[in-house]
Amino acid sequence: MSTQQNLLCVDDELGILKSLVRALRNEPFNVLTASNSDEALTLLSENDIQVVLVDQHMPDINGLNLIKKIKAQHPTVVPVILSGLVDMEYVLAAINRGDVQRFLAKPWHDDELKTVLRQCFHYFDLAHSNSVLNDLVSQQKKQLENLTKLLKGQG
Amino acid sequence: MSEQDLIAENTALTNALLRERKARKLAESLLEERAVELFLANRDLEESIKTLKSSNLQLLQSEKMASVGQLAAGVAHEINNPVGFISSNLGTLRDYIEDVRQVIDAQGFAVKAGGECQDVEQYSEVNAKAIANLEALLEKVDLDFLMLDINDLLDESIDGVSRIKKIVADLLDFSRTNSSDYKNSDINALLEQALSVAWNELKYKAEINKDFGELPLVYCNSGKLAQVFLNLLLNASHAIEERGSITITTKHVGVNVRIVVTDSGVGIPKNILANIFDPFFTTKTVSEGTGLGLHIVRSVIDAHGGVISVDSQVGSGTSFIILLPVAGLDS
Repeated sequence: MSTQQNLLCVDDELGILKSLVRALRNEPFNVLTASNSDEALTLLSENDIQVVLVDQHMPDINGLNLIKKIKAQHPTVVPVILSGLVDMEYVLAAINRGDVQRFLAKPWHDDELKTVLRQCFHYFDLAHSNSVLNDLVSQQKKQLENLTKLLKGQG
Repeated sequence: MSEQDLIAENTALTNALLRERKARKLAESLLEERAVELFLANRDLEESIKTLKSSNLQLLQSEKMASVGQLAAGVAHEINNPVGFISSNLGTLRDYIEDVRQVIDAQGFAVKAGGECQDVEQYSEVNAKAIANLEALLEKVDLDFLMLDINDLLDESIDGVSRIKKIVADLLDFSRTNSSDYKNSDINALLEQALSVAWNELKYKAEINKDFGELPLVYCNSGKLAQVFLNLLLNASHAIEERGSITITTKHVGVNVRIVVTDSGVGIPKNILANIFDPFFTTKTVSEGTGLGLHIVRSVIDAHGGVISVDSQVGSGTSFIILLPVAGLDS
């Protein structure tokens, strides 16, 4: 991918956002941060963001609901939920429905954080190439059909 | 009187005496039986009182444990956040220190480089290489940014540790109560303590408004009052369905201190308003509430010589009003 890779982290706790930026300082992707859902949605509309890391427990909206909102406007974004082991059944159900790509527990391990996020960017790239290739195949199929028609017409 | 009459009278008297003695003995034995019964009944009563007292204590204890348990999940989450970023920051700091160490090594090397060379040309060449190495390293590491970020990292982490310390201290303070521990206390400080213990639950539900007046110290059992305030705050939060407000007002009124806790929750219907302080009365499910909270609240307030009343409107909210005598009971 030649476009800049961008990660958006959403958490109401500033200390968490700053430590995430530090932990990911050497990664090839940019780290953007938001502390509430409005900021998050604004940043998503102004930037090309491939992966979002969202905290489950926030005062204005819970993480899974924010992810729903984000997917409604940006369906290709890969969501990761960050959660203390409190509402586990609720979060696990969301994972099994496919609403989130990955789950990270609080407190997290920096190595696991990096691995999971890299996998998500890789997934985004694969999904993107897949859709580009599918479009190409459709296009070529159409061209083929048109050429066939032409040949038949002339034959 | 004839001899026969005398004998007859004597017999009659003796019989009467015997009857009287028999009756008296019967009365004495009946009295003794009654006395024994009374003694046994009294002893049973004393046993029952002892049992009741100890079950009462157990119930109070379990209600306190229930409210502490309720908070455990919220507190664990509240501690998890700072633990998360502190531990991540420490990992980052270790990497930073490694970078700084490399810079120091490279600097040391550059200072000594070429020292063993015999001629000036060789010396300048070796020296220049060492300096170039150092400069490349400084750029890669971004030392200026690093030094600034290390300060931020330490400030944020130390802040996080203080928060954890406070959460644990508040919880300990709250769960520790000595039933005979009466002393002069700052009511506003107790309310702040109850607020910070309940904060994890409250912050998702309500905006907190505080209108604290200047209060004299109140002679009271601070542990029990903190439990009372915590109970009222949690009830207020549970009454709010999605999002609302909780207002806490304190004021010195005459010989009393008045504390009002108001929520913008669902309100209490008029027909059950009179029952809310009854023991075991609750509108919550078995897992959510024991129904003892307000009963305990009222008994604690009574023990302080105070009064608690409630004002509520279905659909707009509820206010609990507490009046506490400044000088305590027996004032």
